[in-house]
Amino acid sequence: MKLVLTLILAILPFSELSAQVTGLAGWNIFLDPGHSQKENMGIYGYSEAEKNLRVALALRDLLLQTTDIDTVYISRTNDQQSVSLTQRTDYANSLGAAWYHSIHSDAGSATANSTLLLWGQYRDGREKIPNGGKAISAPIVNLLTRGMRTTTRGAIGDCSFYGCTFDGPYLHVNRESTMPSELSEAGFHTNPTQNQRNMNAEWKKLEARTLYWAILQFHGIARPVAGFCAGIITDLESGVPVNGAQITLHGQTYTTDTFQSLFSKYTSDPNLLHNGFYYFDNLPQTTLDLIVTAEGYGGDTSQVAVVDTFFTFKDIQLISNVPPVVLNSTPTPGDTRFPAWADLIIDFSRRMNRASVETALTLTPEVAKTFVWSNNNMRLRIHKDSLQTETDYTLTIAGSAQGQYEHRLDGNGDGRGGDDFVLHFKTGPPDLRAPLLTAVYPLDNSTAVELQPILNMRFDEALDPASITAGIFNLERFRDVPTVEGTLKHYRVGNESVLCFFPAQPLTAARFYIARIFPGLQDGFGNKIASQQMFRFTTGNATFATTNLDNFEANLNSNWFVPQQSGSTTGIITEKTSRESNTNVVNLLTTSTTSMQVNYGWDANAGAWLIRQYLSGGPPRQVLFNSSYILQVYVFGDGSGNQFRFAVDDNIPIESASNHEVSPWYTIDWIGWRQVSWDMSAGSTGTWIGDGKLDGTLRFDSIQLTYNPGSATEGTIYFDDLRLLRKTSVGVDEPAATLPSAFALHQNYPNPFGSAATSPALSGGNLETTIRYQIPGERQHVVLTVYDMTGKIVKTLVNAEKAAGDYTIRWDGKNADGQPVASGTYLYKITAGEFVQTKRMTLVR
Amino acid sequence: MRTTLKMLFFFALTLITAANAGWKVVKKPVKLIGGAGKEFMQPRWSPDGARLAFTGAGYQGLWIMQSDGTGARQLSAEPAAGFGFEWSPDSQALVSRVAKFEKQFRYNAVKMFDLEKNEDRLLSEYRTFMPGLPHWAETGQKIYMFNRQNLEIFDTGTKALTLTKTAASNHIHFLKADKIAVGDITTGAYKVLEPLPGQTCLNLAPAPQKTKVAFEILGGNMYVMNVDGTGLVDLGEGHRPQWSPDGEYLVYMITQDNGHQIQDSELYVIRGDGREKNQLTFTNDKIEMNPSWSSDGNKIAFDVMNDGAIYVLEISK
Ligand SMILES: [Zn+2]
Repeated sequence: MKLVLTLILAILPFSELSAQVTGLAGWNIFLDPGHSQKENMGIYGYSEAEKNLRVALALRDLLLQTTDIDTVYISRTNDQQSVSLTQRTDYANSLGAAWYHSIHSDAGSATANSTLLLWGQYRDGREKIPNGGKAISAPIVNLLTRGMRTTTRGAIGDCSFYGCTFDGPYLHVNRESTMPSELSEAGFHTNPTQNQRNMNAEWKKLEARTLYWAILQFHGIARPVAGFCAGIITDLESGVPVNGAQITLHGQTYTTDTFQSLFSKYTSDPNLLHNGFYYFDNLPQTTLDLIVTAEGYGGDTSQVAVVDTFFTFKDIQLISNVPPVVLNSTPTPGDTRFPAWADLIIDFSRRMNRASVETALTLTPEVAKTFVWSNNNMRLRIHKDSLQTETDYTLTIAGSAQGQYEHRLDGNGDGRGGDDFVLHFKTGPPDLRAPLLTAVYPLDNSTAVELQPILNMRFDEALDPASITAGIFNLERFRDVPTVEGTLKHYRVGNESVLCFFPAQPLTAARFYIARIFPGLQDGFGNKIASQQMFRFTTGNATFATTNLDNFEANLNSNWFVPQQSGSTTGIITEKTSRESNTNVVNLLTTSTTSMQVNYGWDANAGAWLIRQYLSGGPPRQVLFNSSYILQVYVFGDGSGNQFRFAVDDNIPIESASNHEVSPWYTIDWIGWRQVSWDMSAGSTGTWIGDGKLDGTLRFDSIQLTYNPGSATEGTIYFDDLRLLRKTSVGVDEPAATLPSAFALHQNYPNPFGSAATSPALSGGNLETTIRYQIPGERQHVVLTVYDMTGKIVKTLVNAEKAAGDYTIRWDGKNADGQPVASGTYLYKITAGEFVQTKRMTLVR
Repeated sequence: MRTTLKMLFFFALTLITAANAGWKVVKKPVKLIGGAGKEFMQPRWSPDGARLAFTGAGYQGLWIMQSDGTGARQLSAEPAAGFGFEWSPDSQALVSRVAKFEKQFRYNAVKMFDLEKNEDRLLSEYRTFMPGLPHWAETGQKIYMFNRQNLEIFDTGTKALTLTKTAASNHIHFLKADKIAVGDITTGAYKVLEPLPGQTCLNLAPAPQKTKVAFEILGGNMYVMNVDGTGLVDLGEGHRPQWSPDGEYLVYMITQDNGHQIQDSELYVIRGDGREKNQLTFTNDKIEMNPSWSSDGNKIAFDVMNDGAIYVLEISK
């Protein structure tokens, strides 16, 4: 070890050599950069795992090169290894390392960003033995938080933080390491600001340096002279960090990251990423001149007094010297159908001097107007009386208009200020057309419609809510029920409206229904629908046994990640992407009071897009099923043309990424509520990570969304009542032709049945037999009961009103208490009105 | 090298999918000891099959009990006493590297636990730097450990065992930092093997016959190799391998984690040549870990992490 140290020191610059720190002899540490490869992908494509590794390598170098520490061990050294948790602690324990520190960052919403230290703690609250992780966490969290310049959640025992269901500690690295240990979370890789900085090489040295200082402080070793200066260069007006700024200090120059130097690794959009971060070390403890220049900005010169105890932070705001231009306008130039009643909107590239713009602005032909400014005086909304329809207009902002810092408007975009912005457009015709019914569900004249449909009526423009009166809609069961009870809801989505009708009770199987929209619906201009509209459908008779996965009524935060928490989520605009609960847009077919709302923003320039709305825990994750089921969810669509799908984990309990399977994509071309089902028995799957086969035991993984290029880049989708269905009766498409003409009770199949007679399927579900029966004519009350040979009731399988039809029911060999019954002969008996029949079956265990 | 490895791997894969032979569970697991409030883990059979040694959470402390779970007795409460402990060949003693912590420093020492005399003996002084683990030489007389620079040999003061297989008896294996070393106890000479150059080896497990070793590569797969460095077999993903008494099979675990917690783990058996891979446990709610194969060949002891308890299950071929 001595020999190695000497060699390393020989190649160090003199300043580092003179900073030799003593006091760590007899001590060593195992550094554990959390995760592997590119795991825990952060916002904009830079992963937690990559950051953690570079922080750990920098800390290792610092300790080996500047101190007398015995040695530093590390759990991984490159981005290729995939190191399991057990290997990390096995390696540290095998080496008998004196200390264990795990380096991480956190995931959450786009706005969250704070530090956290987690030391090993038992469920009873005591610190893990050997002690020490708690004591070192205090200096680490203090220095790390100051170094990351953010807030902190503090230093917390891991059992207190997560909640332990066993003796603890909670985190594997705390639980299985034989030495004092702790884990640091240096901010959030899902936070845009933090992760753009994480991409910078020197930024990661800040994190490493704070950990280094904390180790010295914990050992009672004086901190060597610091001599660092770092900070962020931003645009004063927009607050956006400046790429390619040159900072000169003490004879050295640092250039902030640019698209060419760094960000092109993560995006194809040259304007997307910025961090404005600069860093200097080896500075003398004195006051130095700091000079900042950047293309398109006025320069800045200031003084910085370098402190000897910590990083000296100095942020600089630059003022642009590019004249303001108009970035966007509504209407766009040359628009010939601009709505006469709409507001005009002008977006400037910089903050404007309001009075100078308002004075310089004319609209001809003239009309009375008022000005509304927003977005730090960068957006102007011109509110006015309605313009004349089908008329040419010209909006002019003279070159005398000025930005906040007296740069004159560059109206023609030639790069020089002082010229006029001119916008020609023509207003369109007045809206004289009534709303148009553009889509309905069920489709007119459709058959085999589910028994609890949500009727969906979509209109091409917004309806006036006052026109949606109580009698405007009616659903009739043909000839015998003039009005089916239910609730009619109006939703406005973008510029369109949708009416959804939720029947209060399931409809009757195999019957004809007529939905009518009566005259009277109108748009905001009083254009009224004058004729009655109608659509008709026939119900099927398939019935289903339902297993709820999640009705989203409670525990949304503990059951589901937010989109950014999943490392698979990519291509999003994180500020526009979130998951929340919603109590207004809910599925009224059930007693739902809450739905899951997913807001999305897509970065159209990204190469790949996915939101993985991950089911991370709670009772829904305990539900296991197989491909004989139908996965179903109610989706409130935004009509965007983007897509969603279901994802499941296959081959449970073998947990492996390669077991992720998905449904085909469903294009969200509807607005309002729609039931979406994935019949897994039909065998159609999509392509993601898995092999496309649903061949094992399944568990729900996630709801996924993707961008369909050309579709809307932002929107909102709601989900309610995620569940599993299994057919309990086999439906028939043409009820009139095949309805049974007589009662019948058929022999069960298979018979005999039981584990000795049938092949195993799901755990505990390997005993099943099917009983088929037929009901003719009118609705009947049907009872189907299993008895043992002494005449005692084992279980009642059916006790309900049944419409005419051909039904099957399954029995799993269990009694009413869910207990398996013994091998032997059993009777099953049907009673339906006057019809009574009994048959025998044999169970073989 | 790369081609050979790939071919071996491919060979192994085809055989796994084709084969259906191998070990199967014949009796469901029986809990021996442990649970909330007194969590135990990492059971290891004594060579004579009469007892199990095990440790507590975080490898703190060392216990033994009869193989039926009765008569549990604590040998040590020291930190790290339960990591990498080893039974003596005659099943009468255990050796481990224990630790104590004073201020921020860790002190390690080699300690022998004599079950016959019911006494502990420190074989080394306490040191801040001890990157090797102690192992028994096959005669039972000596314990060896790779130290900072060289091989250190401790005399246990016990009499030598009568051994039939003299050829293998001098053979020793250990990890020299992250490399596999093979040597001879009588001369102290050893050579370092690098089956996968540049890679870090861990969890080295010599077969009872001392002809093969199993090990893991940090960030990689589990392997078996002859002690002369030939016959490398890639066994795929796997952790903490332990041999069957006949040296033909390995029992091990495959874990799933999210970087913070182990989320699932199942036990597997595989033949040393990569054939006959069989999964022994299939639970969704239990995290089975740390298997150990009994000397009669019919039982696997293991722990369930989220129960904090030690179990035994019966297997047959
Ligand atoms: Zn992490």
